[in-house]
Amino acid sequence: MMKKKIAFYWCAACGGCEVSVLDIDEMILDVIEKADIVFWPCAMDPKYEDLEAMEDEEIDIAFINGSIRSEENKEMVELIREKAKKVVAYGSCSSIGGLFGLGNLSSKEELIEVGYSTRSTDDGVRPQNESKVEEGELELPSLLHHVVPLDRVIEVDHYLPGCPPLPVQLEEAFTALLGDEDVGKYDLISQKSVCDVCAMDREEKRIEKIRPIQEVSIDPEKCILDQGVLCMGPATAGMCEAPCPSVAAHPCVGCNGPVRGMKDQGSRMLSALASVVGIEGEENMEEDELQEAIDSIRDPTGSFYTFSLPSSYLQYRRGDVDG
Amino acid sequence: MDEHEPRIIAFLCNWCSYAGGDLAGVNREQYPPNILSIRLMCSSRVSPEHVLESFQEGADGVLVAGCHPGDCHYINGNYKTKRKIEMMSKILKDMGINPERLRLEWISSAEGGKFAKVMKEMVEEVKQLGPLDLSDVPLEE
Repeated sequence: MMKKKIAFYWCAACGGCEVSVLDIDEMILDVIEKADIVFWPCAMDPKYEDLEAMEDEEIDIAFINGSIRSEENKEMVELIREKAKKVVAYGSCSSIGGLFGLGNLSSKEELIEVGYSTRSTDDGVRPQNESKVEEGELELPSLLHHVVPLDRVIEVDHYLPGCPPLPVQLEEAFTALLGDEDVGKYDLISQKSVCDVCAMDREEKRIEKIRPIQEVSIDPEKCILDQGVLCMGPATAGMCEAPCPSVAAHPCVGCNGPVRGMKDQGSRMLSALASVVGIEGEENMEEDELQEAIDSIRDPTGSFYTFSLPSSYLQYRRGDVDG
Repeated sequence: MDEHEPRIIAFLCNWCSYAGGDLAGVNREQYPPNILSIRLMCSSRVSPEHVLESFQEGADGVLVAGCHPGDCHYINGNYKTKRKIEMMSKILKDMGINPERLRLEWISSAEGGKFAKVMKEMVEEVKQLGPLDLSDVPLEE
């Protein structure tokens, strides 16, 4: 059998996805047996020209991680799309927008202003697209208007969310993709929620109010949401098998994004919480008591959309729509 | 130039608010024709996704109306609605959309007058806010 040619590329990402490829331990040997890595800027030293020199569709599978934040990201993935038969959105950033998507709550001008006016930056200096130095002219790519997931700029063949995708997911994904199995576009996203696969003991949910995690000493046997700490389990796809709550007794932060077939993770979480928070004796509650229960959920936008804002209905702050 | 005529989606619960709308009709109450009503069994059936999708598909305002607290046909559905809409308002605000575009009202089946009044107010308010355009901006300048 001909060895497959695979490529890895990162866009706006933290680098965790690149490292996660190595998390599969000795299974990397199986991957290498079935495939040659022809392009991987993080681990090898290829130049843009090397990629440009490739034939169209020369790469069999390109794994692209990171969200699309700058013109460079967009240009590169468009080039990779030409050179690859299949593109996999690897990790949550490229699948659903990722953590960097929270940048969409500010305009790009605000981000640059805040980022470059800290104590440690020279006052008044802002990055320019072109700057002249002794050695010649330097260019920097511009930021796009807002962060988008990969499928907003190129066609994606498979989604593999996760922050980063865990070995258990990669084992399935690499085996299926490299073994020419018939994998649907969304097949690598679980239809089960994190709650569905979580081992914690659950009761019927009646939560008085949501408390910050530092104020609660968490019982590692019991459902974390039942204990009044915001856990994104109900609205999050569970292909990770729930290690955060089950192993670390830490609430799910929602990194896998919505379960298969759902678009808006935040909406789902909001619906779930609306039915369980502050329901004890709600019919006799005063207006302000009810308000208190609702207000106990701090920063709903940031908490519910931590990883999925760019792929939600609203995508970015529409500051220019209403003042 | 013609004045902007807002489009408003009204999610009405079957047992109170929709009946309230019926009564408004029977009583010959006048209200503007900008409302597109959608009848649901309970106001709590309105998911945040319905609201967001309405906005995205061109609604300038969304009204959710249900039974008064304590009167829900399904015992406590309207309390859930209340919590949902409150949280939604916060999210809309964060996302730069005026939360006044989303309104929650309790309208009973005997309140035809209130139904017409709410509709008039809502249309007037949303008219003031102007059209909501959620079409995506180009990524590159």
